[in-house]
Amino acid sequence: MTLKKDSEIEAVLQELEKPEQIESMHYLVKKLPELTAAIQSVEEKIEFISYTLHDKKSLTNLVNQVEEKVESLHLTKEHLETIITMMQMLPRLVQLLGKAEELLLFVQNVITDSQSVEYALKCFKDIVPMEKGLHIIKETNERFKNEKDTSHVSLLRMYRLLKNPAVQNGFKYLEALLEVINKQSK
Amino acid sequence: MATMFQTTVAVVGAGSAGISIAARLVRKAPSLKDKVVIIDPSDKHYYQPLWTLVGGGAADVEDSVRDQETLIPEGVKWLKESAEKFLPEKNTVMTKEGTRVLYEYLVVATGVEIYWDKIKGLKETIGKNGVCSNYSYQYVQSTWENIRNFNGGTAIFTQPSTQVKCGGAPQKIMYLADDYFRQSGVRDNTKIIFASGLPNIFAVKRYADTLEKVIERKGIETKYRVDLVEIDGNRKKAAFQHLDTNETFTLNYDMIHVTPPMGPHEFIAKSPIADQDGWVDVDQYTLRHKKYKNIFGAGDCTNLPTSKTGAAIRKQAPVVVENLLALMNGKEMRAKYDGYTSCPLVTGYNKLVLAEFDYNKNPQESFPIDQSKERMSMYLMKKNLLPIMYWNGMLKGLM
Repeated sequence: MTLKKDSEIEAVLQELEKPEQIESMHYLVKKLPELTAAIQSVEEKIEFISYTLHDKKSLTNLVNQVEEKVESLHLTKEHLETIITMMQMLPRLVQLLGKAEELLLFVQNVITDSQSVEYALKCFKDIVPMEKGLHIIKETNERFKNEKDTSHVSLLRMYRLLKNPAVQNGFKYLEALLEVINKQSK
Repeated sequence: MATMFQTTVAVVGAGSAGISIAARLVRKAPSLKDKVVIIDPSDKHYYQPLWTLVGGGAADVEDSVRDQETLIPEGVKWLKESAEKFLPEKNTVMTKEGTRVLYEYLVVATGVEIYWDKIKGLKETIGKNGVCSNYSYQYVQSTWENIRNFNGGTAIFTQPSTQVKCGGAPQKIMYLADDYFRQSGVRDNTKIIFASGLPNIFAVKRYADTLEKVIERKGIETKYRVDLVEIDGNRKKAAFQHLDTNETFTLNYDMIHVTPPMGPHEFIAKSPIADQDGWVDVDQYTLRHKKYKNIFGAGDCTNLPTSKTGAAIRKQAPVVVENLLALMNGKEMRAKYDGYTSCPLVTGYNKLVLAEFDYNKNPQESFPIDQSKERMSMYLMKKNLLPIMYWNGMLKGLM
């Protein structure tokens, strides 16, 4: 047993004889005043916390001040519950906010990208053939303006107009509509 | 003179995958600004899904192209050179121009290569003699020229047995052509043949069922497991080889739309990052390279067992970014790619079947409607919305 202890001590001594150990010891001895000062400082802080915890008057004052501040906010139990609920929802909210940010940036990119805006307008015109309709109205307006026809519309002219396929179709549609109305009203 | 370029993340390829991954990286990790470099020599960036509609005369080719410099994300550097050699043991990519790019992390997104010269006579006759293809910005308009000026006869549409970008595209243009031939009154004296290297019309049964009906309704003749091997433009003859019997046969045509064979780029196939078939060898879920742990791959250049589409890339990009950032920060890589891919199968003007599925060929549909039906709403989405979403959402790392 003693032999084992001796060999252990010997091993420690051998270890201490190593240059890196000597170097470390030297460093520690040199730093000793700083280390002592640091330990003293920690001790003082622990003592301060200990005194404060025993100083009921100061603690009561502090708690009262906090309570006054909280009261001035008129926070109710509902507020606290809501805060907790909100905290629970935060992971999901952050995800949704991320998506909303992406969507916002996408919209921003589209409206500032003239090529995309142009493309979208072109596609819109393909789906809704507005140009055709506009073109018809524009040409009609121009013709009406340019012809400046002051003559009366004669019966013969009206007869000719009645023979126009578009008007004929209109009448046929009207006829069918009247038939349906008549049938429904019976 | 050889130069050296040092960076945190190098992204090889400025296509759909490369740009959206780089954009996402700097958006998710602002500290990576100016520490990501994209290596790609192309001046132009093409939105290739629009080429089906361009070939069918329903869209303008100019709407499918933008200057690359307008798309490089803010805070990302662009090395306008061609990657030539991967030295993953040295964390280095060499360019043709002689630059050594030294990286900490690498993303490979080089896309797929089109083998125009694997079909004898194709290069000499493409764009003329009734031969056209939607698979190139240069020739896509020749498809519309052929369809518009077709006066009846035999129209052949081919699909090779190799993997291609957007596996549905070879048949989409055929459906548009059929629609146009009916409108122009030549369909009655026209024979349409779909000659495909694949064993069926579509790999997913749910959508194949619909497409079989479309084929029947349109009166299209199908020939499966045949590859186009030669074109004689002057005599308007196309030679095919049956993949099971190796027998060859010749068909006369009046117009032929060719989908050329495709495969990995040679510089990838010969590199240590490739698998035995030449694709970048990545884990199918994490998208990290199986051997080199600081390398990721995305898009058409990888060996992911799914259809090579832009929609697949849209789902791969966030996985690469999330896992790459996790790796950088010493965290567990949690993001997983499930093989999602999508193919908007145009079946006519104003009609589309939106196929969406995963690795297991299970439908992964985005809308609460039966997407296996031909729908106008889906066609309008493809034509009008998807290009805008691509330029302003996907390439900005937002969707």
